[in-house]
Amino acid sequence: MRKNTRVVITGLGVCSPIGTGIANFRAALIKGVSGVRYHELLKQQNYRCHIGALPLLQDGAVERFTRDYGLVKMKGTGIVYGCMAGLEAWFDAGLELLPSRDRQADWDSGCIFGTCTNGIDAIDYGIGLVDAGNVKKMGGRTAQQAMNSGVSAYLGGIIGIGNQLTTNSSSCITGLEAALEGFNRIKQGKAKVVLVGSSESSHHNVWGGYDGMMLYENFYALAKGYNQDPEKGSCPMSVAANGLVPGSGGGALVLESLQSALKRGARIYGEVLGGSLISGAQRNGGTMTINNRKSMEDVIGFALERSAVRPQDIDLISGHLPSYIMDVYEVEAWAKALGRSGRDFPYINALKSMTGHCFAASSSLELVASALQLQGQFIHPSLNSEQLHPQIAALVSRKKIPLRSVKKEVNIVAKTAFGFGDVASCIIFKKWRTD
Amino acid sequence: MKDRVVITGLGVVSPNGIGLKKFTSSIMKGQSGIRFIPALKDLSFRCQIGGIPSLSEADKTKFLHKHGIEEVFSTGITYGCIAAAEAWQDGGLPFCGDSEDPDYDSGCIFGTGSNGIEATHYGIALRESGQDTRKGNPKALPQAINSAVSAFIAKILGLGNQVTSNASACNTGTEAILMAYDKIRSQQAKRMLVGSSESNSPYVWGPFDSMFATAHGFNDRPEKASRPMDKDAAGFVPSSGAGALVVESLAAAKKRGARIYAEILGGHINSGGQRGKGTMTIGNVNGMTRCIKNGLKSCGVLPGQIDLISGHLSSTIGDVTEINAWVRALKRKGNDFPYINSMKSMIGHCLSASGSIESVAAVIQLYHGFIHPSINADQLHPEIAALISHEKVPPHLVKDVDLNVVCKISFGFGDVNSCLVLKKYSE
Repeated sequence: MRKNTRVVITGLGVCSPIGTGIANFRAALIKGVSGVRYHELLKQQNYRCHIGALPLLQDGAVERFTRDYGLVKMKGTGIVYGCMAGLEAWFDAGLELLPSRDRQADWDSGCIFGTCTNGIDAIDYGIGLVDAGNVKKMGGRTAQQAMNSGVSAYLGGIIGIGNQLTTNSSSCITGLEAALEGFNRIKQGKAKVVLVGSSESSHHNVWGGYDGMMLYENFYALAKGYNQDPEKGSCPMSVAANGLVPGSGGGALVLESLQSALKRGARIYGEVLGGSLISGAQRNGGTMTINNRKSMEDVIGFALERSAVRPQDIDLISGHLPSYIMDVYEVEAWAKALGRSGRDFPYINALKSMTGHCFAASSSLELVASALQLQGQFIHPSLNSEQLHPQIAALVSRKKIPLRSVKKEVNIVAKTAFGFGDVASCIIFKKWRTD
Repeated sequence: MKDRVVITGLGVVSPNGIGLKKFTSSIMKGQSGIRFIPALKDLSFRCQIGGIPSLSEADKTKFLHKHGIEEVFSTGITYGCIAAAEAWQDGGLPFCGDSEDPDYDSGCIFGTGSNGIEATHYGIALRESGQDTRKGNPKALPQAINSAVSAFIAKILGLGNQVTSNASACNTGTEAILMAYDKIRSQQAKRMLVGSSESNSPYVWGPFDSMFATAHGFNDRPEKASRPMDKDAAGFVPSSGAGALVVESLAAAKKRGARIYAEILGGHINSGGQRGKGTMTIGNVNGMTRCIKNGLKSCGVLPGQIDLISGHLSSTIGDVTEINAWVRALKRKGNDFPYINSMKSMIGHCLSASGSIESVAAVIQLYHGFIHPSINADQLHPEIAALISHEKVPPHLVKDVDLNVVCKISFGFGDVNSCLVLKKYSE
């Protein structure tokens, strides 16, 4: 690690259920809108949960995008969402695509773009053909979309990435992990710019998997009883939270060394101070689908230590908060790790109250939201949290969980993400001051 | 002063041998693991041969039961867990008990391209049957996520540092090793279990068959099909398996008196940017050359010091590009070129698993002092023959050779590259 290399955020991009494009997304955050809708297809396919959150895209937007970038025969929605968010972030940072005639790649720029299941659309297509004995009809563009690293491979080709180009995957912490990996690479002097992010396909087979999944004994993963009232289904921290609402989309950030950003006069959204990635090893109450509560607390402590930030410095927590019992565990972990409660607890909000749980994409969308809140000095609401879960109400003052956006001075945001496989992560962002 | 990084444990599940002992003897003999696979014929594949580790049902069940992960049914996840457990045990490390705290000093980067495929297929079939999705096995579904293999490994070993799965197509395994090297060098972990695995499934191989990437014309001669650098090389042979390594700081290894197989001196990860002659599926020679040069530069190794190259060499036209990249980067050719061999000549292309299985083979050769044969390179491709001497591609085992520096290289779709520099360990 080079202690003197600082890492800043210079570009943002988003393809989300509450808005695609940074301007739309920011407006939706401030307003507090829900992107969760009823989907007839899910009912037809005999799922229990018929609600979900798909990215808001104008008619023809995907077709235009794939045509503009020569993406022939794209099946992977997750790959398209990732490319849309990634390129928006790239241009937002004032960066350019390397001309296709160039023989040398952009050696100083890397891309770490994660996913859990992006290949699923292409795999589903391939399975159908293989089973029918028609493997030859699959064509030459299925392998690259079925492989886990399809999204980074497509982004790399469009941009001309010459540094590390890879896809990480660690279930619902994927986006946060990508950001920390990019941060490390810049900090170590191995890259100047790293495009980081994550995306998730909106294929019904992704959601179907969760529909039939139990998180713990007799507890199915998805929200129950909200099919008639979709916008209320995702209600993190509420007493009514009873399962996550599936979503999809993509989020992206351009991370850059401060030196490089200053040199090209880039706009700076915020600084990345550091973070931590650990696992609870599925011990002491942790399982494949529920986190070890000690590790949820420990990861916050490790992140603060690495970032040299004191517990009292945190102004806002951008929670993982998926809308079930994990919300309680997470708030307890924060209260213990920071030694703060009641009115002294930092502000805390849940983007999933608006977007549902976009799985691999969730934490990068939440990081984009964090950067926008730092830059705009506001705190977005947590919808549907009117009636707090009693164990949360006992730890956090009502005022610290805003139901409407508030203008506030936000200097430090801490973001946690937790995921299947008992993985835990935390990253710290700081406001950028030009003076 | 940054700590040195060493390799202290190895594990492997390969089409030509499961377990270090069997694998070592197979690679010394030049034994092919490629077979005719009737199921591929039934499915009308063009290429009906492949490499599948011969894991018996009984051994598999016993392993999964021993570690309390009976629900695992993905072949890639199974291979990965077996290789990881072997490497951990080979490294003399304890398996953390169920009630113990996670070991925050030890993590896992275990990659894959498609391990979730069996679970994905299961979910799709369940959906298409029109049944209630909750009639399915709830423990099957988490296996569809890409990171399932690292999650199961962490459970078996009790790993509490970073636990993740990387993916960069056929570059995955070598990349995982270099990422772990960075974690340890920057003191974010003391020890990482790294590797990669790939499922054995017609659904994984189908897309490659359809894009004419796999070997054609060898269905009746499976063991001859994978022939890297040979003039008749006609596509790669799809295969599957897993490789695993324990990568550790020298201080941690010394403290516990571990056997040290080799030292990781450094390396480089990059992409050719799909520029020049590079595309999504073909590597740009400029990216490859730069990857090798920067890998050597990262640790101050001179081109003349390289004794052996463990190539990517997949038995496609890419072999010519790779040799060109090596010759350009090292400025060595003809008889002056280092020894070079291809593990894929025996086991085919294990896709994401290839980089880690081949790295295990590279470490074994370095440690025991031999060079495994590169089979089927009967007559070098003319463009390769123009660059390097055939003598540098050994058709038979080269015994008792003093290897000091070995380079392992991998490439992958997306025009990605990684080059790893290994050295015999000395105080």
